[in-house]
Amino acid sequence: MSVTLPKLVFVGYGKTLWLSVIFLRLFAAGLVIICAFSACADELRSWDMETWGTVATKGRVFLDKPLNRQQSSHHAELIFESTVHWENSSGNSFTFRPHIRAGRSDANVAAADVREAYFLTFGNAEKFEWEFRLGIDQVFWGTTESTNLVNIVNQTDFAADPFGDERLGQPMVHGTIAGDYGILSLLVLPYHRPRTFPGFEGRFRTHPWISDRSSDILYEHPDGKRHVDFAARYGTSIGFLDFGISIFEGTAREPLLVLNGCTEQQILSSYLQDKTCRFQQIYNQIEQGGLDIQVTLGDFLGKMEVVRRNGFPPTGYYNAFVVGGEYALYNVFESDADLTLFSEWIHDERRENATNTFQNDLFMAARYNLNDVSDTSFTVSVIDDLDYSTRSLNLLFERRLTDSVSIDIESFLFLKPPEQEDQIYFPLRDDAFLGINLVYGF
Amino acid sequence: MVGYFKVDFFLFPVGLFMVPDQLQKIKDKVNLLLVLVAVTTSSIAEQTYAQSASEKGLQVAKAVRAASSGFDSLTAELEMTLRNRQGNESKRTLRIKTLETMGSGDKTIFVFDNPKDVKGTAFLIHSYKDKADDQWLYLPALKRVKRIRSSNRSGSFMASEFSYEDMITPEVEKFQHTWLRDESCVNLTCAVIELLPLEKDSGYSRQVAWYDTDAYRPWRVEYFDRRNNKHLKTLTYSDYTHYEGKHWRPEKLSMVNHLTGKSTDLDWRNFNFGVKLSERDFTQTSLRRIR
Repeated sequence: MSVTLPKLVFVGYGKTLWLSVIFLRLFAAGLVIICAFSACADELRSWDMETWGTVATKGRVFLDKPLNRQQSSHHAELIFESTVHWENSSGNSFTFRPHIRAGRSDANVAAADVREAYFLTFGNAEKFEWEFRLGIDQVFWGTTESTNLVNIVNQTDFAADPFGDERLGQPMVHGTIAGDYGILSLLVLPYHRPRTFPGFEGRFRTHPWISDRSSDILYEHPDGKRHVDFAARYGTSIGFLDFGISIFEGTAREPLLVLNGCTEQQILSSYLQDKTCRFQQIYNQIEQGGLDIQVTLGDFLGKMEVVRRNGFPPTGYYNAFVVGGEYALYNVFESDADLTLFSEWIHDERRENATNTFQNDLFMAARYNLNDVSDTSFTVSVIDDLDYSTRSLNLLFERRLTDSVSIDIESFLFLKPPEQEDQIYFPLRDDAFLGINLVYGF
Repeated sequence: MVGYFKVDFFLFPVGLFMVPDQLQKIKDKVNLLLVLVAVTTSSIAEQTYAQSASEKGLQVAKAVRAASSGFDSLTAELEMTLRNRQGNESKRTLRIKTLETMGSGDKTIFVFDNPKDVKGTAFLIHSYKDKADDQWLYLPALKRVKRIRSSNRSGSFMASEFSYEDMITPEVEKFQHTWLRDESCVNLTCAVIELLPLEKDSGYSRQVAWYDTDAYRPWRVEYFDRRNNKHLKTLTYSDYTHYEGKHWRPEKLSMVNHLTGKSTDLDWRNFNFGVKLSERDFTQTSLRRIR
């Protein structure tokens, strides 16, 4: 038996519709569960089921007036994420992890996504182990902290996190073989997820805004989002050295942004209040070769990621890299606390034409971990732009309140405000904020 | 006691010059070195005593290791109770899988269930007899496996009074052993052994352990601070249970920190010696499958 998800679930929606959208998507998620129970009912019922998850609230107050008066002055969000895991005695399993957000500070806050819904089986041959995953899953590649250039399988969910730490679920067929010589993964990715961005009323957005209307999402390839992509990675360890070589061929995860509905002069003269002035997203066919490296030497970790991407105008290709490391100091100030220092240099050959904030930047961070019962930690990170004068600061305080509730307080500030030449940071110059997040785990 | 301090004094510098891949060789040379040192500096009587003390120490340590091994693989659950000076409690629960491997050291996976914010986080440890351990951390939210430094052996495990090095079965090769004396303990006779850690990142200058000469079970360990050689912590083992007629396991371990007044109890549950695990269950790929 197969269940087709109602088409309605995936169409665009307005700001006032967020509640009904949540219900519709819950309904769709429910259908998936019912499917799981009816189609594979007899089998699944004999499997062990386990459920866990989180409910979180996220609140942000922006310290400055927005650039565009239609943008929100604060941000409030409720996030539900749960994992349901069925497993039989031989270790075969089915995992379902829905992610549901509600909030109305902009249209893209409210959303639902299936982060994971995959079947997993694995086994041993004489010389190697194998693993096979089928469905929606998350794959992480990379070693560095500031950004992960090689991590291309899952699309970034900027609507969920403006710093890019959240990823959308990706449909895939994923096979792995691992033995003494390393780990080889092969992936077939039959469906493209466009990148999400904060909506028109949201903060942390470009000016003009990036439209997510389906008519504004354009694909170079005639198959569009149904183009079948391929990816592979081989990784191994030799003593203190770990490295991975990866390739990707298919639809880009990072869109090219094309201005539509207004001219460049109009943007420069005034910040348009009109939704018709927008960026369209274009997804090219690309090839990416990637290399990720980590050396583990005592208290020091050295890290590097390098990518070469083909298929980007105007030069056709570009190279980008992150290189750096982290160093840990234990029992600082005669206490149980430890201090970890991070430094990374991020460089993108496209420089001012780069489509992300890391075109030539220095990332420096320090994390002070108290190692107390509440797992209290403070993190300070600075991103210093080496081409422009921009310097931004992130502060994060994390602490557990009870066994199931933890809090984090974060702030994003500019130490040196971006200048007009810095096309990516300049529109964010009024987006400094103070935020408090509470997470309940069950 | 005089003899013991001499041995301590003579052997301690050996540990400081240790390079991991030389450990095996040096282990073989220790007896020779002892003889040389003893011949040139001590009386014949002291030489005999030093030799027998270290040989007996190593013999007991090997017997203890042998008594706790031979299980191939096991799984268990662990509840940690952390208590501060005021007596306020905080609990953590985790699951553990261990595999003995012939030749190299043990392989261990810790999976956290509670507190909820670390649910699903897992540690994979490959310990070696002759070099520093390899460790990986699995972060379930990002599905990221990160190789982490193993130099933090002296750091606190989950904010408890146990450090990372206390949480894994010590390899005999990573210590210099000295028999101190036999004395009665918990209705049995215990061999009291001093252990000098050979790894430079250990948090201890030495450990003194009580093992019964009956089944070579540990009953008590005193830990001395690396920085000032003061008595830092005491670990007591209790509620020994006999599994499958051959494996003795303490179901309760209690660590008291004399400096801070804090303590941690480990309550082991559901020991399962019947599981068949292989090296394939302790790889980066299998770590990604952990839940």
